[in-house]
Amino acid sequence: MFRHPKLCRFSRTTHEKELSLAALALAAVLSPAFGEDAGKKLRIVFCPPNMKHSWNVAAARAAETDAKKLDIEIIVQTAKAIHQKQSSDLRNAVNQGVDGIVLGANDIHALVPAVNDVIASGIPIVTFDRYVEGTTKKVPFFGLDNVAGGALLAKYVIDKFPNGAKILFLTGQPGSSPAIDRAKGVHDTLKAAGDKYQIVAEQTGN
Amino acid sequence: MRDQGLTITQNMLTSLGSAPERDHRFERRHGIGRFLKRCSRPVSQKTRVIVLGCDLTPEALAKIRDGALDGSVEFPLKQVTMAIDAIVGHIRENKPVGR
Repeated sequence: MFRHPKLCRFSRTTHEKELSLAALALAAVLSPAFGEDAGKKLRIVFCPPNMKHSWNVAAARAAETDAKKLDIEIIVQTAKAIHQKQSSDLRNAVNQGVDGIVLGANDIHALVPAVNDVIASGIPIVTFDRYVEGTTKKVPFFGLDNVAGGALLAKYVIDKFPNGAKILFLTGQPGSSPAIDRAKGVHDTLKAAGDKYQIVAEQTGN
Repeated sequence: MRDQGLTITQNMLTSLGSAPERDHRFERRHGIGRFLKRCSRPVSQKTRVIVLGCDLTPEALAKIRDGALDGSVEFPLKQVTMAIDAIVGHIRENKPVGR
């Protein structure tokens, strides 16, 4: 297993697949019911960008499992990779008076007006996996270093092809922070390795 | 989404001088990664192709075992539960949520 200091990991054989999460610190165990009305569960809206991708399906499952542990209600609202729908979902959540929002933003900029509305409402909001930039107040982000992840991909190619390689690069959802950051990691690392590494074609796979 | 990715890859390979034929039965049976390797072969008999991905879902891990993928960068799901734990901690106990 090749491990990156910034939490990304690269699994490449069947013998190197153990799921170590040592670098990720658990949040403190929370005591229940402080600030909640008796008998009423906290309602948290969980907004993954889409459910076509198996990682997001697994993320929604993880959220539901965590909700049981914390004794809260999780409302999953998938955006189907449409910025306008995700913006509407956020504003609907404000109108419903939910207690908090956990967002995987479809786009680094397009969600900013809707996130600003959430901030103005006073409802707490955090992001996971995909962050937003340019909001009136910084939104806490829980995720990994995707630039490092992209660099890890490029380093693997360099390691396997020391004499150079031609690369087809399929990127993620345009405008999303992981796609932007991973591409930066891939480009910067290959550029530093010299002209013998060429990205001969690059397109989004979404 | 996967189908789109495959089509785009085929188009890119075609533009580079290879003309891979789609084989839906093969794709269904062996997955996209293995098909990508197969359709990359006509570029050159001497060409060695590796296929890398992101996220390392259990499904991707199975593909690595199967030989369809050479590797995948993992982005653990722990970030999801950390985000939820943090916002609930903030609401219940007014704990700070740092960026």
